[in-house]
Amino acid sequence: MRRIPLSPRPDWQQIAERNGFFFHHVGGDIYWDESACYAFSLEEIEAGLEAPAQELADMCVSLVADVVHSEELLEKLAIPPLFWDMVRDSWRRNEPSLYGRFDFSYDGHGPAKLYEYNADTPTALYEAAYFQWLWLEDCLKAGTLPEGADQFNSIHERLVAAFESFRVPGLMHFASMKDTEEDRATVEYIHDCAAQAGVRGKRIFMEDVGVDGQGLFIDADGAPIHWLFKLYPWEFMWRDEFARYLPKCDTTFVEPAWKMVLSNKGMLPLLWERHKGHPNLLPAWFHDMAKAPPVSDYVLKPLLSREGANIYVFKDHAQVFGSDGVYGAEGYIGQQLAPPPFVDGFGPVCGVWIAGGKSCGLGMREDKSPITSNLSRFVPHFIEP
Amino acid sequence: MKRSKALSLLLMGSLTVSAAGCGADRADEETYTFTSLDECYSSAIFSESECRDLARSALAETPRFSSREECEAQFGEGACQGQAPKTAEGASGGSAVQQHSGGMWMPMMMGFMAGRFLGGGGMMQGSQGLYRDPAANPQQGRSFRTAGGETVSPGAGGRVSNPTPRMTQSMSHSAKPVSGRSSLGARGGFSGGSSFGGGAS
Repeated sequence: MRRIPLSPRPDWQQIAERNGFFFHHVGGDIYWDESACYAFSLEEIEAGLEAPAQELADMCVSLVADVVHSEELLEKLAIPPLFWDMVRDSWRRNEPSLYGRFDFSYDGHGPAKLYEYNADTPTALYEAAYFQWLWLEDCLKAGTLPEGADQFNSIHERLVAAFESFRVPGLMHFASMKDTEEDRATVEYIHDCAAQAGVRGKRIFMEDVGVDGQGLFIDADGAPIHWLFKLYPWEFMWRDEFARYLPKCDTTFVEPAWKMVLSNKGMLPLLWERHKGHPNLLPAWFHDMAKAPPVSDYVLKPLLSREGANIYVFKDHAQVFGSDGVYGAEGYIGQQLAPPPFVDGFGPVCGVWIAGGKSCGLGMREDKSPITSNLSRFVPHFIEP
Repeated sequence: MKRSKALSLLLMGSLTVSAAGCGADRADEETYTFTSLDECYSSAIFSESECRDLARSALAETPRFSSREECEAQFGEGACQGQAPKTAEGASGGSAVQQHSGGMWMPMMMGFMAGRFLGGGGMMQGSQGLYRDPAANPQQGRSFRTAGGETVSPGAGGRVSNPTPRMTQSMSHSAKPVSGRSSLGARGGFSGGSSFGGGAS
């Protein structure tokens, strides 16, 4: 695995905008960065990332099967009791999952280590599945990458196949929140994949969802919402005014309610307890202020948090880094510190995508700080021929 | 090859991106036929509970006759069935009540017709039963008749493109205001992200 400087395509911004990708800069900073790329060997991809992510995805499914039948574990994960039946029912009904993203520390030497699983509302999907693919094709045509170069990226095909397997009988709604350019584009992309699978879709905003007189969800036009893809975290829904309508609604959600178990950092210690010593897992525990952590260098992460908020890094039991945020009320987990590898001064994190249950693609983000936030740059990758 | 073989976007891109959030489907005046509850559910035009209500009121509006002959005179030979006495269980003297209830024959319902239409004071939705059309020609697609004797020939997806005023009037017997539903409900109850600035991680 190498980081290779590369000349960006001269008209890459126009290409991006022609393809509906308007958030290539965020807050004035570059987000899509093709002035470099990562080169992998096929072995590094297949044995180092693809296979471990598949194994972890399967381990996660077994974990959910355990947790849904244990009130003790549901409580440990701080899932409100109001939703326990919903989690169990969605699991029993086998409600399908579309996707998720495992974030790994990996530099091609030694096993990839799992930082976390973005199981409910992973982002950077469009960039990884679509725009990164276009980049590779363009570079192959222009000869800037060697002939025969490939990419770990069948995400798009897998997403379309997953939507085909859902067999949505009628209309499916696709919701993001207002005023979030990046989320809007992601949902548009997902809507597009669904349309390619023959699903009839309608774009809406979460804020416009309503309930009818019987407490069933409807859109702004009063049409019933039977299937809802939501780029909106379950734990936001817990706290929303409409939370009380969720347990009795007739809507099938994507991601399903059982993903509450996995979009929770508490799944890290639960996985570690079940697979202690697994090469791709870092030691993790439910953090108790009154007890000494089992290691001296570690990270504390809230059970529920997003975009790198409220994360605290300890070296030799002393805090050396902390990020701001509003999360953490539900408790923290501890995880042994494993800083991203430093490559040319950058710390890449490998995001491996699961779509329709299959490990199927890679999106790399890099940052100059030790925590991948929502401002980390996306850097494309290829597999050397 | 470890990447997608070919890849394209149907909706996304410079032409369509500005139209985000503008749904094409609106709650306009629309009429559909359904031959089962499942068909109604999967249409996603009405919610499951609405489908059940619409089917129930269509059944309730179905005319009853005291003899098979009277029923068949109106709906055609073999189109009628005897209704099982509903008073038998748990009621005393079931047979006596049955004799007084009259109306034990009714046409077999092939499905129901449900629509949204402008009525007194706003958008209404209602339904009526659909029965065998004696003049039906299967070569020309599905057709039904209403209790009022009108022929209904739905198009693709069960849609009735131009319901006659009389069809709409029959549905209005059981109609309920659509706007009444949302005024009983609420909107904007999913806004937790406003203080977070984005949902994805």
